[in-house]
Amino acid sequence: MRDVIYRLFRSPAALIGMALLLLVAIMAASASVFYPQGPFNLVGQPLAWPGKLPGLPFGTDSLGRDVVAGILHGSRVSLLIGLAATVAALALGIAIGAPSGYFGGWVDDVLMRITDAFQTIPPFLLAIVIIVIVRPSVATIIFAIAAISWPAVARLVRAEFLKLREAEFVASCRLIGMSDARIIFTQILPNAMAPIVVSASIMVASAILTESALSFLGLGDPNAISWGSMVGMGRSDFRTAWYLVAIPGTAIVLTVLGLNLLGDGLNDALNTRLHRRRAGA
Amino acid sequence: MRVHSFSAILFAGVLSLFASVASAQAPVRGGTLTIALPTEPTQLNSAIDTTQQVKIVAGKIFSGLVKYDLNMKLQPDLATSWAVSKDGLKITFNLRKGVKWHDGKPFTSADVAFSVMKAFGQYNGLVRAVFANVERVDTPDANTAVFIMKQPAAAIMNALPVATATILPAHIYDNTDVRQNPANQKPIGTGPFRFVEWQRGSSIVLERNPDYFEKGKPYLDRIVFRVIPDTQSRGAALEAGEVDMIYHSTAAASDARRLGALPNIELTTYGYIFDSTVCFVEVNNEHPILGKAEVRRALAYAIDRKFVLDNIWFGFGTPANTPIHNALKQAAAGAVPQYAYNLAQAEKLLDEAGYKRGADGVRFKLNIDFVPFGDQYSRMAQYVRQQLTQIGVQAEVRNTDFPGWIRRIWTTHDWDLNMSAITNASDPSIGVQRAYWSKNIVPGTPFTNGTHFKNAEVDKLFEQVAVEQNATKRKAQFASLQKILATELPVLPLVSIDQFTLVNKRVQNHSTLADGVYSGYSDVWIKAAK
Repeated sequence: MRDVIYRLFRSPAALIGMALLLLVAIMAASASVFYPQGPFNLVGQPLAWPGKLPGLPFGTDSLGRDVVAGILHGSRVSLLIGLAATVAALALGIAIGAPSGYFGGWVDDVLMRITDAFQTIPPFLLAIVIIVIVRPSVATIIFAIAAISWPAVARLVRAEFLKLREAEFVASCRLIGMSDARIIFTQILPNAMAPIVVSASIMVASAILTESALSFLGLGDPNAISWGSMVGMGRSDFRTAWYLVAIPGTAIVLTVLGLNLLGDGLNDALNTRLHRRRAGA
Repeated sequence: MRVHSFSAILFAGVLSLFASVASAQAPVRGGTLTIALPTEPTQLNSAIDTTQQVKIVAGKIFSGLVKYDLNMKLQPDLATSWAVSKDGLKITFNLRKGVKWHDGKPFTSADVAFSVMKAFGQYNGLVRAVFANVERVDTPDANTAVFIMKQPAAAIMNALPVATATILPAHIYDNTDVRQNPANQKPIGTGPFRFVEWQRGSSIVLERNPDYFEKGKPYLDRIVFRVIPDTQSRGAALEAGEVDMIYHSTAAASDARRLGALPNIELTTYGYIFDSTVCFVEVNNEHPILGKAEVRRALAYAIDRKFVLDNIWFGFGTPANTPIHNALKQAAAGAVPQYAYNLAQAEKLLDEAGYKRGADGVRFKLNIDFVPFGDQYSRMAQYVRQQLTQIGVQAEVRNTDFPGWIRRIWTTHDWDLNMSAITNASDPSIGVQRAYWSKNIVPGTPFTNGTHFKNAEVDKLFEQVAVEQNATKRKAQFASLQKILATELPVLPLVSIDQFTLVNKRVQNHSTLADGVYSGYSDVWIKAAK
């Protein structure tokens, strides 16, 4: 484990990624400190360009709301949705993939056919359908994104379990009479974590993008500002006030870039074979 | 300096001379006019459908009995002259002779009788109520149609232009289901342009009708309607010269001023009198708190209508004091109560009404819904929520799709405040009465009285203006009506919207009639490129 952290910190990509994410985390944490009134206050003349009015470095949107306040509060919503949807998708994906790979047979058949059913529907369309049926809110968006992301996790986990259930350490656990649940959770799962962690970092990124796309289409939570909804609202003013799209757009790009860089770094750090090959070369 | 300014004046004078010469140019035949449609129509029969993308296409293919110019003076269309009897119970139309449908069959009074009694009089959502007053249409000969009325209908002449009272060919439609007739997809009219083809998802093409009854017209060879659903793309297509016209405010309002300032683009708000629209905050009048007029008045004080006009409608309109659009001169508002933006006054009224702030600063909670069209109404919802927060009313905005929104407002009636707008059409008896008349509370039918406002005085006045023949008396009745509506505030009026058209300057004579872009365009011509 210490090796992994050591390798992670020696990777420039992972360092940049972590720095970007730290920045976003600080933004999310400080939103209420700097803007306790929330992001919706009308603070000045609408559509004021960045720097035009004192105290409004990123300017105001079409209703005269402070764009900085929107970016800070929006980071909370974007991060919350990204993380919560990923955790939910991981939980569901593991719950389906682990027994499927471990037991095989009819359990595998049933669970994988369910997974197939979900995978045949275009994921973004499924998310739209879910949001349109239930009312758009932060909770329902998290639910919708989790609902479209879990099948990939289930497939990944199943593959890892298929491989590891034949391993010698698992056979020895069976031999000493360990229960299936204990083998799954204390033996195989920890050894299968490396690819899951790597894919989780990418899933957070894609969850943030999905939420942005939903908000952009007007299917976001109208009572919460997210970066995607800021882009969506700014879009109609694009030709006259492009900063309304560019600023939250940049925030999304940097966060997703940070997550991808961290994912790459984690992949390198956790992939011991690659590490050995590098050490050998 | 002085010399400079003098030469500038001289230059300006020469320019304006050129301009007046240019506008007096004789129309040129030929050319294709391309108009951007924001959404694709489902069919092209405007007698049974009041959506704007149906009206703009059908208006070129069909004709009405009369037209209105920009001064609201009646002009002939299929009828060359008309006479209303003193008691308003008999209206005689002398029809144009020798008019042919696009399929070559002659147009006669039987077509008029059919259209009134079995087409728009039955199925047109806006004017059905007006034509319900017609007992029958007599056809003494092929060129005379006489409306025999059950009672006078003050708004009937305003309802007659092609956009609402589309005259259909009886020989195609009679004894069929008008709403399902295949001709709705390939219309046959008497108008200046004939239907050529409709490529679904892409375009609708019309061509000049060589047998059009106004000799020598129309000037254009073709009109092409291109379906461009994306707002930004429509603006870009206009800028690039790929389309000549964006109508009914379907460019982003924030972008319209920039586009209108381009050297080859003209921005005009003419030609929408018959589509006068007022946007407002609708209030559920059956809500335990909002049902009290003093609470509604408090909310009115909390909303800065100038802000809404300037920043949500980008200056296209005027702040509204009543739900009747100020372009409808026959119903000009007199002195009505005003609610100048004043948060302190709003708080005072709420305190007096007994809704004091609680320990958490909140008086009560509300939901805000909005019609999911364009950006404006969701922005209004955001703005109103923020204003209400300041007077201690906590509101949550709900995002619903169009069918869900209709169900919530008119069927389940599970709402508090609603950001919306309705067209006043060409007369308040057509477009306004429906939203406030207590006999028009029809659960399940959209754009009826959804606030469930009930006021006996208002009911009586709406019934009076609907039959009043004397314009002066009618105006006085409208004034009393608006005084009550502005006092009781079943809705909080925000802005009398000016719809706008963005059009390439090569297009001439496009806004010469009261129904503007929905008219036949027989006078429109295109100036050749220099």
